[in-house]
Amino acid sequence: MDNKLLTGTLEMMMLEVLSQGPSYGYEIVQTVLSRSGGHFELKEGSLYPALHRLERQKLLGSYWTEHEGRRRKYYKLTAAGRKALDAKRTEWKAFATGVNGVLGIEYGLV
Amino acid sequence: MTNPHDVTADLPPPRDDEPASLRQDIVDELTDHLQTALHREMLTGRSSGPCETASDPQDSSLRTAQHRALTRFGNPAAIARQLWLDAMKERLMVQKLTLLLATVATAAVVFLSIVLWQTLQRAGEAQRLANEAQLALAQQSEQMSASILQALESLRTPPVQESAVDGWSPLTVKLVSEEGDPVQGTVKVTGLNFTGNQMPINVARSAGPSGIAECGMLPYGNYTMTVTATAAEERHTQNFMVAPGQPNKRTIVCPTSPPPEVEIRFALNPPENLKSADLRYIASLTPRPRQIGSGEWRPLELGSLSLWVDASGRILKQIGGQGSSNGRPDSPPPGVVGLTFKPARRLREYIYDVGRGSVALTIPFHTRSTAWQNIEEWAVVSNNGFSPRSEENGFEPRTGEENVWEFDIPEDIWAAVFNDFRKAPESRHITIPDGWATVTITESMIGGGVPASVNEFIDVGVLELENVPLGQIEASKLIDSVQCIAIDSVAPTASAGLGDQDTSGVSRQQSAYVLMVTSEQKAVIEELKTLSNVRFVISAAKNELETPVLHEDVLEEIRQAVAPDDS
Repeated sequence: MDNKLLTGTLEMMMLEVLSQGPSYGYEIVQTVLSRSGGHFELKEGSLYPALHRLERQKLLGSYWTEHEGRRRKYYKLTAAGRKALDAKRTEWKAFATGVNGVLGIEYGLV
Repeated sequence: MTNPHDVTADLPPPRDDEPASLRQDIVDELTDHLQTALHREMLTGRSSGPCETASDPQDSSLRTAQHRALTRFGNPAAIARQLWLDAMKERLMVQKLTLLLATVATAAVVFLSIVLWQTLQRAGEAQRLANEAQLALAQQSEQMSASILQALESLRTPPVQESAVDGWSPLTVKLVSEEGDPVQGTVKVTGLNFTGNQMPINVARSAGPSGIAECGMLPYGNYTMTVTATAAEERHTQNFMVAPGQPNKRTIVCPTSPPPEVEIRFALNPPENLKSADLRYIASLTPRPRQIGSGEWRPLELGSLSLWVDASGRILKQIGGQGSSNGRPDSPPPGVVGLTFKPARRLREYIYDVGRGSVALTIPFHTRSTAWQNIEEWAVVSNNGFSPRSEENGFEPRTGEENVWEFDIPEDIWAAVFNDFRKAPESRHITIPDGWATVTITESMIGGGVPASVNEFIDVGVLELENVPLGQIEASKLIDSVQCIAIDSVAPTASAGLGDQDTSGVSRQQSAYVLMVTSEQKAVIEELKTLSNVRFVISAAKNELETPVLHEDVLEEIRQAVAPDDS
């Protein structure tokens, strides 16, 4: 898959994962990759800059826990992040509807 | 698996403003990810088993798991660096901005400092120039004050023993008589000096019994000196120059007494026709200066004086000059109405220039109560200028002589004066001249026209009653431009047939018009007045002629019309 298409939706997908509950980086990445059915071939490390960016934007919060002798950072969705997620969902639905309409997917043309 | 120090391999050097836990948090988070990924890969590899083919199956599996975990993760050091940069981006930007602002501020401070320094330099230069200008002004003012003080000092102190310095010289004036005796008086020096700022000089000193006036130090310049001889009541003026460094001692020969006073008379000699007129001749006399020593001396009372002279030469009044009455006539004594004058005047023995004068007539002033009001009634009816006889020599009254000044007024001037007077309301005071006469025409002799007024010029016409209906104003003009010099009231004559009686039968006064005509014209009118069928008609003259004109042809027609028929 073209990474350009993925870049615009990656943050929305991470917010969606975190809307299910707090999670840490590896788990978030794995959830996104598994939910995508293996279509997203991203470097796992490339998701961390996005997570940190969302945290600086106050859409995500974080906290640290101890796991098997290591520090683990958990992210959670903030109220602002939830509003942003709703907005992005609405926006994506409109975008996908439009693109599907053009491509004839909705009417079974393809 | 990668070690933490491998994650930090590309991180920038630690910064003072860096959060203390930033690096560790990044390392811990990425390490946790990699450890978790390695653990997963290990589990995945153990379950799949195809990779455990090396001599040390455990090490080989670990390396494979590490390789796969890193392959799926990417470069941990690069990601750690990016995370660090993202976290520090704001601070770095603030730092750069601060640095930029500091640079700009530093540059601005440097620029302003340079500008301020230049301004201060200019201000300092301007202040220095201003100080120099003030110093120069102060020095100039100090020099001026010093010069003024020096001038004042020289004026205050006797400068005889002083030496002339800096263009200033002492002035000493000595007043002496022609015999060399000291004369008391005053000396006044005025002028502008030639030095510096043209400071005006005005010095006044008295010469006491010693006759010496010390005028103090005078700067180089031109001056005017006026010397007054107190006893002589005369003054002398001369110009002189003070040269730099040369003491000035001047001796002035002065009069010791005024010229003696002598009685004077005037001879006006008007023609006969004006001798009886209340005539005033107003003469202007200006005294010439007299020579004493090498200087000219003038009476203190400046200017000319005016003398009023009557027709007999008697001096009536003096205006200006010695003993002036300020132009007002003498106050009349109690009970006397009218102007009063002193009968004679005295003048000092100067030579007088007699200027042009004028002739005036007075009008009767018996209705006036004060002399000053009367003077307002003077009527100057002739202003003909003329030159007196001795205009060049002047009038020089001297003790022991008759001192009569005879005005030699030319005949044409007198004729002009008479002509002016003849038009004046006061003309009845004039004697009718030779060749002239008055003739009276009463209302009873007038057959038409308009009444005449005094001083009016009229034309006299005549009509013959037998040929022209009575009252018809159509007459032949007999004489042009006759002056009516008076209107008298007379009793009706026995021969009067017109206008001498009103409807009640009461006789009334008639007007009699006194006309001034030539002797020949009077004879003609008197002749016509004897004719009962002839009447006169008067009307305003079309021209004002100096001599009335008789129309001989009209006279001849009248004579023929009224002549008795011989047949």
